[in-house]
Amino acid sequence: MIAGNHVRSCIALTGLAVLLAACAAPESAPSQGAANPIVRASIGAAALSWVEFADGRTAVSDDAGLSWRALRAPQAPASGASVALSGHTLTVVALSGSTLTVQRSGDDGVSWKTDAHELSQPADSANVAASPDGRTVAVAASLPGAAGATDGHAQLLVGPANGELAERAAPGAADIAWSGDRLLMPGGPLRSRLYLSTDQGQTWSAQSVAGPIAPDHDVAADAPVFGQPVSTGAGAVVPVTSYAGSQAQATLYRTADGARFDELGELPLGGEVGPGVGVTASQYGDDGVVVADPFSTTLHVFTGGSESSLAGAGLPGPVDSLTFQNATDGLAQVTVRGCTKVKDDCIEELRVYRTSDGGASWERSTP
Amino acid sequence: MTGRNIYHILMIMIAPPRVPHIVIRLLFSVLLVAGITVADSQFAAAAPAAQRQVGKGLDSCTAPSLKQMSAFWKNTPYTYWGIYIGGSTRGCNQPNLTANWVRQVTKQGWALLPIWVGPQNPCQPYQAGHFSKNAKTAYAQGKREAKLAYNALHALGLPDNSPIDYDLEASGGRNTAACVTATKYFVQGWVNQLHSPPAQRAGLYTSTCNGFLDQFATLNPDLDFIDGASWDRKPSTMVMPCVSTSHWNSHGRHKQYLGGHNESWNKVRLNVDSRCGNSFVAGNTNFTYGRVCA
Repeated sequence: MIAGNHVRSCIALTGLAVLLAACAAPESAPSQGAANPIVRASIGAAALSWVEFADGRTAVSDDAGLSWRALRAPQAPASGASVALSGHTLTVVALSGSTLTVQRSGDDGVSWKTDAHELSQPADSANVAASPDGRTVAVAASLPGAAGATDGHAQLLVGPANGELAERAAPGAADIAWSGDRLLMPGGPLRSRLYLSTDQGQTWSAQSVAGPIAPDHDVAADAPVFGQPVSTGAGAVVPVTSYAGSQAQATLYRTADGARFDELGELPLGGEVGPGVGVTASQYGDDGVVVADPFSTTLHVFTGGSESSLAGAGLPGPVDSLTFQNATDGLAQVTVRGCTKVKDDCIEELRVYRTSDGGASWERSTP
Repeated sequence: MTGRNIYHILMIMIAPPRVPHIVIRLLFSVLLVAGITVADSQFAAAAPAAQRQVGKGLDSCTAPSLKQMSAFWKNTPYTYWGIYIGGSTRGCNQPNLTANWVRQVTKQGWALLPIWVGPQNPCQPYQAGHFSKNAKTAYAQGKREAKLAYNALHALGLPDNSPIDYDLEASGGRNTAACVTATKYFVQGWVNQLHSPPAQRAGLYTSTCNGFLDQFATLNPDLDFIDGASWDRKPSTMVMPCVSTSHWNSHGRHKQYLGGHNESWNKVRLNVDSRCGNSFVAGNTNFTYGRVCA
């Protein structure tokens, strides 16, 4: 019995040692490894992907990691999906205390025009979303201090891609997305509501998607959860997590106008998914959507009414966020976490991986 | 001088270690010599054993299941969990949060931070429930909320001397002088009532800047701890924008340093806020992990 426990302990310790060694292993890539780890990253479908390294350098990619270039905006991007391309205009949103600065460049980062906006309070992350036609941008800053009642508030600015942004009401959190010329914003406790604006953020209305509209407080723990909407050429796809007993599933709802939804597909989620957990999704090719399994490296692709699975070989764990340039080239962010048996001896490492075969296999990206 | 006044003096003196214990004992002796008697039990209620913890924690809008709590305990950095025990503007239903749940998660090793979400700053635009802009009324409402929170704490079987954190959501920047004044009176009522026997530790959660957290340092008696929301991803209770480092700097701070995000441990995925604590918690307190939180 003692020997058995000892063996199990050894196996556990060996596993942990391998994990920690893997986290600390030097990389052949010059800039993503123990010597110069990624300290912040935003890999997602809503905006351009960017990474910031410990040495302060920032790199951005507009082709899902096929190529990277240095981002030399006057101020570093705010945490979040804070870099976007609309037409030829590169927009980088920065935060410094309660000042949100919109930085724009029309010459690929050679020169910049900056506009500062004073927020009601210091914000720590911001998202920017460019409309599909490239004419309009929406910037949503996440405001701290809303945890137990409303679960997140945003301060929203909307306006021309190259012009003055105007402050708009924001009923939900900062995960903003376009569906054509309309804006979608999940919000409410447990992200149990989806709000739609048809007038660029001036007015909003909660939408009924997967059942009745959730109340604004005392929301049921098994209420459907709205994940980050994915803008597509024809509108948007909204991933919704729903619960039946201990089983959770993700359902993809497609919309052209943000008000009427039809089901694109559904996916049982293995493992234990708690309340309020949205799933990660991205556009995949012209008409597909890919969903990341929350507990494995598997990716589920929904195209034309069929679903297929990809193993995600080479990924060290479940994907936090991802984006695909097309049905071939993609980029994913993975967080590697682990502790020894002592609670203050833990590691957390951001890693970025790239695929060039549609998501079947992945390797560390080298920005 | 009434026994209640004596009690308040003692509370102020005994509250976090600004005054050497010998001074407290001396004061108590002087009062006794003066012929003023205070029942032992009342003194005990006024001076609950300090229950502080330095470490990392989480909170979630709804309390996770026991299985989920267990998964987030084993080989993780976390030692305490914020639980929303009630209030008229609480965001989420709590099917798991029972006295048995409290017993079981405490056995798992967790410490808990009880949080109450009642009426909000009248300038807060998001909620339906607000307290009055009238200072006197707001003060009475603060006391009422403290009584309700204590009842909820008691129903969950948490110790009488537990901390309770009042959740004032960010106001969105539309604060007026009247709202600030009313909010301070409301919180003063909250503190005063929680300090009544059997006394709890009174805390306040709000945005460090927009919730004008630093201004509550003028309350008398003061908050026992603050719980500052600053989602700067910095797990340090001493890094709080808009809050003076000279305030609540002796084991009087919790910090929510990252807002809602998904996190997975041991095959369980939850939506959580990240926290650091260097102050009061309920339940298991024998941890001083997470030195960065200090």
